[in-house]
Amino acid sequence: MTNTLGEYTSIIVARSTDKEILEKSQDGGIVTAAYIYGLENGLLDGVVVADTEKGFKPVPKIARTRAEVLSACGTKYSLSPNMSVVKDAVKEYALEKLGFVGTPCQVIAMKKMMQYPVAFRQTTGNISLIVGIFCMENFPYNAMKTLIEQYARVNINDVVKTDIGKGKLFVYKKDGSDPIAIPIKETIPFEQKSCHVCMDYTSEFADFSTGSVGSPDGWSTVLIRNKRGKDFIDKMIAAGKLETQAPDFEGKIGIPLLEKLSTDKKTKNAKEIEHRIEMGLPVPY
Amino acid sequence: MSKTVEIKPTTRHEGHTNLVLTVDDEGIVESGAYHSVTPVRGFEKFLSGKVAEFAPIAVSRFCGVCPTAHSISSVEAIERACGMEPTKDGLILRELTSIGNKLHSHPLHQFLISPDYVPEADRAEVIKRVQEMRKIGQYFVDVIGGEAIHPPNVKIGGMAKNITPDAKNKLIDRAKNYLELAEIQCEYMLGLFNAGKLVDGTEIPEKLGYHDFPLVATSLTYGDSSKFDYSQVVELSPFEEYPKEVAIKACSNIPKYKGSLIEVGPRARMVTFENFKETKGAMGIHKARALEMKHYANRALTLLDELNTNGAPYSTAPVVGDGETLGVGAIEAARGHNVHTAVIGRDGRIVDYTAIVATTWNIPVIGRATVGYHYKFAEHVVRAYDPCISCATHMIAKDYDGNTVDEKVFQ
Repeated sequence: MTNTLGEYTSIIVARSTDKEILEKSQDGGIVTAAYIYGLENGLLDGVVVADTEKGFKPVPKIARTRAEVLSACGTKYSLSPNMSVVKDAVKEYALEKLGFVGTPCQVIAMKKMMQYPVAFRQTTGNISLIVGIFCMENFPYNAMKTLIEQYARVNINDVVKTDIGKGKLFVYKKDGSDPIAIPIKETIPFEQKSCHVCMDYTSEFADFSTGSVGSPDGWSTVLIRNKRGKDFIDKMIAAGKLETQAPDFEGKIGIPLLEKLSTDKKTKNAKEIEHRIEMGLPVPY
Repeated sequence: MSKTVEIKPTTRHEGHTNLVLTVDDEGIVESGAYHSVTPVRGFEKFLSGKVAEFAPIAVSRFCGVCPTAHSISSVEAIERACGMEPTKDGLILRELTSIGNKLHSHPLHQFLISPDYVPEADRAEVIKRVQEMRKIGQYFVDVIGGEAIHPPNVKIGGMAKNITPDAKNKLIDRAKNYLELAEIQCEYMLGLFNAGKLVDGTEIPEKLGYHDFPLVATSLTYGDSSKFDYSQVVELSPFEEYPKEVAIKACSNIPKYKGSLIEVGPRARMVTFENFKETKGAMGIHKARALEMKHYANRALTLLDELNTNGAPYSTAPVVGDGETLGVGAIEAARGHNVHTAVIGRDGRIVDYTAIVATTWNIPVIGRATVGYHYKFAEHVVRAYDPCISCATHMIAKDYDGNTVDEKVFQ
């Protein structure tokens, strides 16, 4: 099936059955659940996670236990250079079955690396799972910091979670008070410029891609794209780690919304690419 | 009347060499000249003026078979030139990387000589085992060195990264596995070497490859620069060693230590440190090499046991020399004693750099060792030394007409 969502074999709506995961993670906790299931059942022996360090700054790390995965869960809206630790994972961590999660651009980078493993000798064979996330755009760390500190008036060290939904960027504080909302249109000038030439919304090259769009609150949409992704998800469902429901192909917030957002991104960015070509600027496509 | 027999190129080793023999009417070798014809690359020249950190990365590219030995010799030489002390765990990791390279290189040689000695019926099994062993050796270099070929983690002051406890455990498992494979392989190969027969049934003469040159080694597994007196080294032009028509084509120097050619390599190590009895002859080198594989695996296990995975992998002392001190890095590569020297300036740049690599020492000895037996055995003498030529290449200055301008300056 080829459409605006890239190639996929099936589409499901799912969430983790683990209460602790659901509590800590962004939506359905798919990535966290998949990682923990993989680590605990020998399908993976280590995973790349985007953890945060002081000042809510994303840093890529290598996790090998449930606790390490849980401490890193949740979406970060500024970039965590996950590809940068892939080689370390295979070398000094000596991992042989690595799980990887990334934004569409990182998944593309990973796939390119696997096709042309220049400087990644003996690395490509050790990647066992590639999970992609849905991504409209990203913010440089300093832009995110400015938004949170200057616009939302929250000290960056007090932030526990950020979330984008319903046209707003929500900033959750550690004290548990009501999140502060920033309208998305106010954040547009802070977006990373390279995101405006990206033609991939749903991580079209991952084994499976996931994100909240297209599902009810607390659930995630999962696009299963190949056999490896299907086998992994099937095993998780069989082991009772995921509960699923049928995707909504009709309703306004169902799959049509996912398709609409993907089309929007592609149309908007195709224009930007054209514009940049006109200006004589380099573009990746 | 003596005739000339030329074997060019010699085969089943790394690099390009020719063997020029003069033989009598019976075909018995009267004199042998083994020389490198691998083109000169000029590493020692282009390194001068570059920052010291570039040297281990560059010299690793001497060759893809033992890049590890060169980068480690290089960092050892630079550390001594700068008066730096590598960290304890850095040294352990470095020795492990060096051993990893030898764990792969020794079985590789047994693969190369398998058409000579291993009966056809056993060959597939032997080669399969060889590949298993090489995989483990390369895994060591890959995990600790960061890449199996041209390991980037070899760093002045230690190693760039330590490994995780999980990686350490995996390496211990593999070293044990290697030890098991090495026991089988060693026993099998020793059987063949003791029988002293080629696959076609030809008996190898007992005294094939005998020579009277001393054996030099500084350590069984790693290298010890303090045991090597660099002031006793002279490098001669190939014209001093070979007949003129051979020397004109030769691309390597003739180094002498304490006034003599020397043999380096597995046998030199085993004789110096393990009381190995066969001090002469080509087959002795094969046997020493087979026995060494077990020593390496055992040493790797000891080192892994000593390694503190939380220890600092490298020293943060500045890489600055005084422009005068000559640092000598003597490392036992798979093929023997490998020496790099460096002088580092006050600005951290290379003032002078030289390399006398393992096979350079052996090249003139190999030619001499072919004397006294039929020329059909000569290639087996060559192969016993496992020559790896590309790193041994040096330069001689010539003008456009091919006339030698300077025979004495080689760097």
